[in-house]
Amino acid sequence: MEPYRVEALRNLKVKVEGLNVTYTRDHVQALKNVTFDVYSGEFLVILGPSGCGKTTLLNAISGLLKHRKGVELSGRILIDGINVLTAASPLRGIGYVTQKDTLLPWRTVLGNVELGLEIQGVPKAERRRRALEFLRKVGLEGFRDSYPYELSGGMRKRVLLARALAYGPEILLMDEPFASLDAQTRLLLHEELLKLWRDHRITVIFVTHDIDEAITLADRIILLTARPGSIKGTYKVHIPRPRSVQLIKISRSFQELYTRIWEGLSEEVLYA
Amino acid sequence: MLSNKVKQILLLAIGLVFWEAISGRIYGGFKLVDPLFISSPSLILLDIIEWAAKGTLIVDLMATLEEAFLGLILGIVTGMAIGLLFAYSEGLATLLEPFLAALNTLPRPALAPLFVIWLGLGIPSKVLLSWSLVFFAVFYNTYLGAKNIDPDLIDSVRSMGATSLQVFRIVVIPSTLSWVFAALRVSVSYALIGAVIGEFVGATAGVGYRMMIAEGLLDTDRIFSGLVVLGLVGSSLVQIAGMIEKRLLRWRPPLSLG
Repeated sequence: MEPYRVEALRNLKVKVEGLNVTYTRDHVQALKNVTFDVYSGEFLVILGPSGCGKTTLLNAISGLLKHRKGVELSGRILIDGINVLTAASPLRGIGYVTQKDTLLPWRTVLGNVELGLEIQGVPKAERRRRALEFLRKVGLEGFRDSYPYELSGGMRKRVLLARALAYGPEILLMDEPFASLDAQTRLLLHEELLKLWRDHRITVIFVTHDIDEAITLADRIILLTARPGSIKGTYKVHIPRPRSVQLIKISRSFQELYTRIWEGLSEEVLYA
Repeated sequence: MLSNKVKQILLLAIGLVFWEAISGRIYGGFKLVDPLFISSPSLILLDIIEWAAKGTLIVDLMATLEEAFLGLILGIVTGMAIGLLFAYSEGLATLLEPFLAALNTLPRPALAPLFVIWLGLGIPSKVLLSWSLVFFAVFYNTYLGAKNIDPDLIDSVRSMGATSLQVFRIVVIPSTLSWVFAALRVSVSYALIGAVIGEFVGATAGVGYRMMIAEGLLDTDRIFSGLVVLGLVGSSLVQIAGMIEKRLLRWRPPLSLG
C-alpha cells in the first residue's frame, strides 16, 4: 500500500493509538488495538459490519466513554495533542451527531441549535444570530419556532447537523446519522453535509456500514473487522471533488473501489 | 341538529326541573322526597345568595382556597426536591422507599385529627393535609420523570461540553417538569380535597367547616350550597390547571384524548 505522502505534511488532528475497549459487565471486547490518524480537514469514514464497535470508537473519541461505568479503556486518543482519556475538563471542540434523535423535545428548533453556544456561555443575541445562520444553511430558517415533533425525519437530521456545527467545533463525529432515512432524503443530506464540510473546513469522522455512503463521502475509508473491532484495511478514495452524489455511483473508480471494499467487508459480515 | 353544548345545557335544565319537582316546590302533589333530604335547586340558590349577602361565603371560600393553594405550592416544591434527590441518590431511594410507600397508602383523612392537634384549628393544619396529598403525587412523578430521562439526551448535551450542573439545568429539570405538569390537574384536585377534609375535622372558617356546622343543624340547603360552591370552584381550578398544562407542554405531540 502506498504511503500517504501528502497527508504526512498536513496537520495531525486526531491520533488514536493502541485503543482497547472492553465492556467489563458482559466481558465483551469491543475494540482491539485500534490505531489510526486523522488529518485536519479530512473526511474519514470508518466502515464495518454491525456490532463491530464503530459506535464505541466514536463514544471513546467524544470523551463520553470515560464517564461510563463498566468500561475498560486503554491506549491513547490525542486531539490536538491532548489525551481525551485523561483530560479532566469536558471537551469543547467536538460536534457529535448520533444515530438516535437527540433533539430536546421541549425546545424549539432554534432553541436546539443554540444549545452548544448556550453551554459555552455565548450571550443570547450572539447565539441567536449564529444559530439562525446555521438553520439557514440547512434550509430550515422557516421552522425556527417549530417543535421537533412537528418535523420530518430528514428535517430533524438537518437540525441535528446544524446544532452540531453551530458552536464551531473543529471535529464532527457522525454515527450512521442517516441510517433511518429514505434513499432520496439521504442523498440530499449527503450533498448538504459535503457542502458544509467544504465551507467550514471541519474534520469529519463518519461511521457507517454502507459502502456506497462511505465512498460517496470519504477521503479515506478505514475498514474494521467484526468484533472485537480492529483495523482490517485502509482505502484511499481518489474520486475528485466536488462530487455529485447521484453520478458518482456510475463512475468506474467508484465501482472498482466498491468491489475491493466489499471483498474485505463481506468476510467480516460472515463473522458478525 | 343540536350541538353537544346545547344538549348538555338542556340535559342539565331537565335534571334541575325534575329535582325541583320531586321536592314538591313546583306543585305540592308532585312531592316525592322531603326537601330535608334533597333540598331543591331554588332553595340552594336562595341559600347561596343569603350566604354571600352575609359576607361569610367569601371569607369561607378564601380560607379554603388559601389552604389548598399553599398545600399545592408546598407539595410541588417539596415533592420535586425529594423526587430529584431520590433519583440522584439510588442508595437513599432504596433505603427510604418502603417507608414512603407505606405512608402513601395511609388514608390521609385519618391523619387530619392528628394534624389539628399539632397545628390547631387554623389554616396550617389544612395546609399540611393538603400538602400530604399533593406531595406524594408530585414526588412519584418527579422520581419517575428523572429516572426516565433518555440517557442519549444527556450524552448529547455532555458531548457539547456541558458540566454536570448544565446537564441538570438543560436536561434534567425541563424533562422532570414535564412530568410534574402532567400531574398538575390531579395535584390541584388533591389540594382541594385535603383542604376540605381538614376543615371537616376542625376549623374556624372554610367551605368544609360551614358544611360541618350545617350537618349539625340538619341544614341540608347549606350542605348542598357547599357542594355547589366546591364543585364550581374545583372544576374551574382544574380547568385552569389544564390550560396551564397545555400551554407548558405545547411541545408535545397532541394526543387524541385531550
